[in-house]
Amino acid sequence: MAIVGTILFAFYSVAVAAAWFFFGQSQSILAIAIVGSILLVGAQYKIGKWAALRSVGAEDMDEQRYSRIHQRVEALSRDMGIKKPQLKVARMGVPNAFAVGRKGAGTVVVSEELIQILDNQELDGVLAHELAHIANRDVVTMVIGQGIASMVAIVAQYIVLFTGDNDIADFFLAIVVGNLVQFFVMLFVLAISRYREYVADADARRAIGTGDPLARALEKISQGHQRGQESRIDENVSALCIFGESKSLLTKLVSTHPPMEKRIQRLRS
Amino acid sequence: MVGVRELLAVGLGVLLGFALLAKPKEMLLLSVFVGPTQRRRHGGEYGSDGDPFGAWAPWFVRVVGLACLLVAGYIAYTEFL
Repeated sequence: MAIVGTILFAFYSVAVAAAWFFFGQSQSILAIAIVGSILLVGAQYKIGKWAALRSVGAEDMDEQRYSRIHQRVEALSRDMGIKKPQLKVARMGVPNAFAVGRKGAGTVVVSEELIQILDNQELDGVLAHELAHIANRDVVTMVIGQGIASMVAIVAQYIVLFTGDNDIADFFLAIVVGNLVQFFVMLFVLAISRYREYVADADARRAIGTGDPLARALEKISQGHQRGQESRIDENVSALCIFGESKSLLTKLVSTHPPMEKRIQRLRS
Repeated sequence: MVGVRELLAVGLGVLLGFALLAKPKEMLLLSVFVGPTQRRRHGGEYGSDGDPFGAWAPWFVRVVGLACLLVAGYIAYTEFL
């Protein structure tokens, strides 16, 4: 967490220092930077949580129907030292689960499809992984990361814009630089996201005593995904379809999750 | 005399334009608008990113890439020729 915080704070500091240098060394620049940052990240967090639950049509998980899940989440939350998050269920069309919110006010959404295909132990592994995200404040970290990427891009854009002659070349350069800077910072944010996945896996493994159930769950989902792709290839019989596990370096760099096989390997090691 | 800013505008504009045209999906995934928190829940199965945007999105990015190349070309034409 210290490394992640340092990387994000370094980007933030560079952006604020650059704004301070280029727009005048006044306290109002610092005030705008700090208040603006808090407002931007706060709004992204609040809107993000609301939009996440709304976009999948998440509903409260019935305590009678899903009593086992409620009991397991309560026990795992106690073990991890966090308040039991709200549990919601959604029909997403695919086996999926995700956590939103912060420690003390988190929500875990599980898709009905995931509950159907996993056995109890495998589901425990997935739930422990999502609870680890809440315990480690990963959701908030990612929102802050995205916020910092936006801020650094905005600062870079304005520096180019306000130090130029306001002609078309300067205006265009500002947009291009803003985007390139944002892409660069996002590469780090995504690397942090992949690293936090490994940490959540390790925490889930510690919480339930073994990494095998989560590894099995990942395998099951991944195999189902591959079968789906194979059947689609059969249906389409198209030589132009490129499926498979071989991912390019760029694809790996822009992924939020590490490769499934590496996670499974680490969980079982 | 061609300025450094004009050279940068053309050079970086062409670079961004080609990147958007050649790898629209990857460039979109690097945007803060489709960041990690959004991608975890859209379209993908557990543990994967899935496809967080519709089929139209890469085409939109390609159009933006083409626009980048056109503006960079226009700046190059007016400044260097």
